[in-house]
Amino acid sequence: MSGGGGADWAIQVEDVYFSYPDGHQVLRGVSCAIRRGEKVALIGPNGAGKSTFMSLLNGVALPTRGRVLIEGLEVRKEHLQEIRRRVGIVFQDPDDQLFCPTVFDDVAFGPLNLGLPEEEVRARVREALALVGLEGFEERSSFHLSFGERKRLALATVLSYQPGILVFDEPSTNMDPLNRRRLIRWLQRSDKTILLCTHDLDIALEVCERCLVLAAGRIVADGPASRILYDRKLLEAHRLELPLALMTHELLHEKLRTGDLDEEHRRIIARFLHAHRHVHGPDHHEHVHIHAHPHEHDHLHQPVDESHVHGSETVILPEAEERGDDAGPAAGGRRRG
Amino acid sequence: MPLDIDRYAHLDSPVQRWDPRLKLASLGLFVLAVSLLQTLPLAAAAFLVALLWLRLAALPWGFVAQGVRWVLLFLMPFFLILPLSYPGPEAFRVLGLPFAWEGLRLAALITLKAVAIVLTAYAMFGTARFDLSMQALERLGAPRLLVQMILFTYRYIFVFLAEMRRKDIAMRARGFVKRADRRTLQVMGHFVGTLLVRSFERTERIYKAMLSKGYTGELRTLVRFRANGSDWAKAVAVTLVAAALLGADLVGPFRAAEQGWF
Repeated sequence: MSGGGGADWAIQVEDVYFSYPDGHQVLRGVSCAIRRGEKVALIGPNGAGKSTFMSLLNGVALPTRGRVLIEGLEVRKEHLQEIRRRVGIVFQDPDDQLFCPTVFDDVAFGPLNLGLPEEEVRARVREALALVGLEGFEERSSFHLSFGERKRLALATVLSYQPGILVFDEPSTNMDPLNRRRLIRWLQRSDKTILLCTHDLDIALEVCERCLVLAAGRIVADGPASRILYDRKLLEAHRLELPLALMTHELLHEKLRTGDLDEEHRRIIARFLHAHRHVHGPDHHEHVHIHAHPHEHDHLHQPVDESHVHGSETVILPEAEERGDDAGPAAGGRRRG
Repeated sequence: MPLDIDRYAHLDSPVQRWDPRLKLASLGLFVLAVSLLQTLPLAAAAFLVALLWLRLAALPWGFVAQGVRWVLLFLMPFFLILPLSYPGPEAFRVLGLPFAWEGLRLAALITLKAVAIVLTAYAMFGTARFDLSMQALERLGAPRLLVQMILFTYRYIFVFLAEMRRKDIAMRARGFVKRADRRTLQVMGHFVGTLLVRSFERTERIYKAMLSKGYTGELRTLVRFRANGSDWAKAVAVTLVAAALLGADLVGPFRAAEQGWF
């Protein structure tokens, strides 16, 4: 557990190079360190090396040069089982991660590989399924679930072996807005170390306090998400762009500043901003402030009815109702239909 | 056979309740015995016994008939080929072609035995969840790697089919119509090739996901098979039936009688 910088570090990557057997070099000297409990976004264009980077974190691939430490333990052949217990990777396509005949078997797969006793395995499966709102699904076949359910189940199969570090590959891909919203809230509330590898910069903006930009096999920027995700120049230089939320605000800001608006416009913008601010939640909205004229400002921050966004009856991740700060009707874990 | 052969595994019957290991082992012996039968009356008896297994398993006849249909389709040609190619006493003539008794007998024998075996296979694999049957096979000594391969094949057939359907729709959406021409062959070649490559990539991703979750080559499971007295009793009964059929076939009067016919 000790060594290499102390127990405070969840992930340490030290000057890592990686190339495939065919000579294709993917990573060229990547270094970074992530603290325990930190939520970090790893962003970068297609082909930047994000997937390879993820594979190095649990030893599915080993670096050609340099080293990776997980909670102080170096990722090497001898420690693979321990490393994999510590790092849970949620892959992009749930069909790759759900390979067992039943939901129970899929969720129990990790705990069984850890050699846990039967009672413990059963308890962990129950617990993990409850965390993603899929109680009672044990005997169903993974393949016949809906995409949203499979995506959540894939997360449960990782949660069941209780890794302290969660790595997500494009967690929001193909998710409908409600499932995406649940995931975001789940991520915001989790106390695990979280690394999100994604193109969805909006999810990065909402969940992560820190952001790494990977481009052409190198970390080209590392800093607070509130700085990097606002840095249009940096993002565009690496085939990325501002999060949609920020682009919209820039646009609106410009319109408000130049006064290029009639009353109808103002009304529409005001409504839009409400929905917007709302989406970002009460404690994440410093970046959505618009410095409009004073009277515009008042107008823009009218209280709004919050029920229309969160008022869904379908499954939510149960944590949302436990904390109870903005959850809609309690329906945690109920099966649909 | 339908892909979801274990569709009726949840039914409650003496066969479904039977310990899969003993069920597979003893019905496996029965299948072996049937495959060795040489005389028509005993093949017919085996066929009736196989029907009995299905009756006991409470599998719907229609479900089983779906699978047997294909077997019969495959066997039909034997009723032409064998009677026309065997020498010996003639049964009848069609369009001047002589049909031999011996050929007819053989065709009937093959058909009865094949159908009896397929029916028994339904009783073996249609009465427990497929993965449990496979695990039972593993406990019976089937190679672990083979069992895992079958399990994964079975699990991913559906994913594969869904992918095939999507690609097929994508092709037709762009105006592709299957014809009997060279271009169709070419396109279908690419289609199959792409499917194989995609499947191969998927297997790599699956394997990676398995490794990530601590897989080291063994599929661990909480399944514990238990055999009680009635499980053993059923196994002994089935084995005795198999032995009786085979014994009667070998030493009984039928063999001599059948030879006497001709």
